[in-house]
Amino acid sequence: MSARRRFSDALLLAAAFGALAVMRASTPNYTRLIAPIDTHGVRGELVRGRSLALRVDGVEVARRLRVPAPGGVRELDSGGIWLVVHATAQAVERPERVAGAAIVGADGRRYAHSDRAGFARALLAAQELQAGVPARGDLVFELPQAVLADAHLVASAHPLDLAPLDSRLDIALGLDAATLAAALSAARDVYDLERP
Amino acid sequence: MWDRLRRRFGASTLVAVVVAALAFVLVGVGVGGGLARAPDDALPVLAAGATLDAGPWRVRPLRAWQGERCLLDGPYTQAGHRVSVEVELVNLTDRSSSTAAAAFVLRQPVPDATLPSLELVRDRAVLGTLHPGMPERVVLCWSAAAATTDSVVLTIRATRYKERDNLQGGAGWFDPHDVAEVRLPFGAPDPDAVRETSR
Repeated sequence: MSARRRFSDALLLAAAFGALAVMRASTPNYTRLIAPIDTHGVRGELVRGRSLALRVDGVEVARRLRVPAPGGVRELDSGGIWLVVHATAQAVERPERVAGAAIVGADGRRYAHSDRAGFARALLAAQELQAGVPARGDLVFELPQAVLADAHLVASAHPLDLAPLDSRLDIALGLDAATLAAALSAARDVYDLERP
Repeated sequence: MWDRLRRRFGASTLVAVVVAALAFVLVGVGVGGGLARAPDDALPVLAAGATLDAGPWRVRPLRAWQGERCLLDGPYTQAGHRVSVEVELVNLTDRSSSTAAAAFVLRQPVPDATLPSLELVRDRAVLGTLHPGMPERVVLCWSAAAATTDSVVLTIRATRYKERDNLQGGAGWFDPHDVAEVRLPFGAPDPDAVRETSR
């Protein structure tokens, strides 16, 4: 074998390994490969996924949340603030629930629907949604105020990390600087989930 | 091969070399502590009130107390010996998480303790999820056989984030390992954590 042929073979081998390294580095990891499939939308429009359709009607900010408790009500404070998302939702094919909902901030941090509020009837997550029958309700989130700017709502009929390749709704809340300032200045001291 | 070596070096030289090598290995093992298991490296001690970033959690142990019931035990729970530890936790990951209990292992007075029950001090209720960057005080409570010591010892268990795990190539927190030891003397309960009602 000539020296030239050997050199070209070595070059080819190096190029093949280089191509493999590039392919390995650029392939999304398994979590990304089986991530939910997002249907994007904005506040005010009905966003239809495969199992859920949801419209964000409005958002409100509150410092405390009044929720039903055994023998009465209790007020929940927070290290941050409470974000209440008013929404209308319906199932698409068969009865569903909003089993996974979260606010995703501009930095990608995800704040799950609060489990501190229990099972107040006003919560959208507490309702069984029928196909084609719109139901109104609230989604409540506890988060730092700084997360609100340009935040998105993600919602799914299944718990968020447990439904690979499932349909998921991703709805921009439209909280630009002006809207956010208005929402914060109109912030309630207490939002009552018993009598919203 | 043995014949070739013997012809070249002589049998007595070869035997001497083999014996010397064996002696070298035996002396080395003896000096290194024999074949017994090497002692574990001592963990750094985390003092009460000090903060440590342990993988997904920022941990600040506050105080410990013991009693007959956990804070969340109902009136019909059988009374026994319970060990409570109050800590402040911050979720350092990018999403809400309910896996805080796995970050603590009780070493004393219960050596092989089960997972603790967790109370969110803010609500006087069971801890659900902790959200990113929002510090919360949490009371961990374990059942113990009896009060035999005057302090509680626990280790903080951290995990490591991997962009691609070895099995499927997915992102996650893996490789649990102890990163610090906490010793807290038993004292009086936090009055805020044992208050009657929600704030």
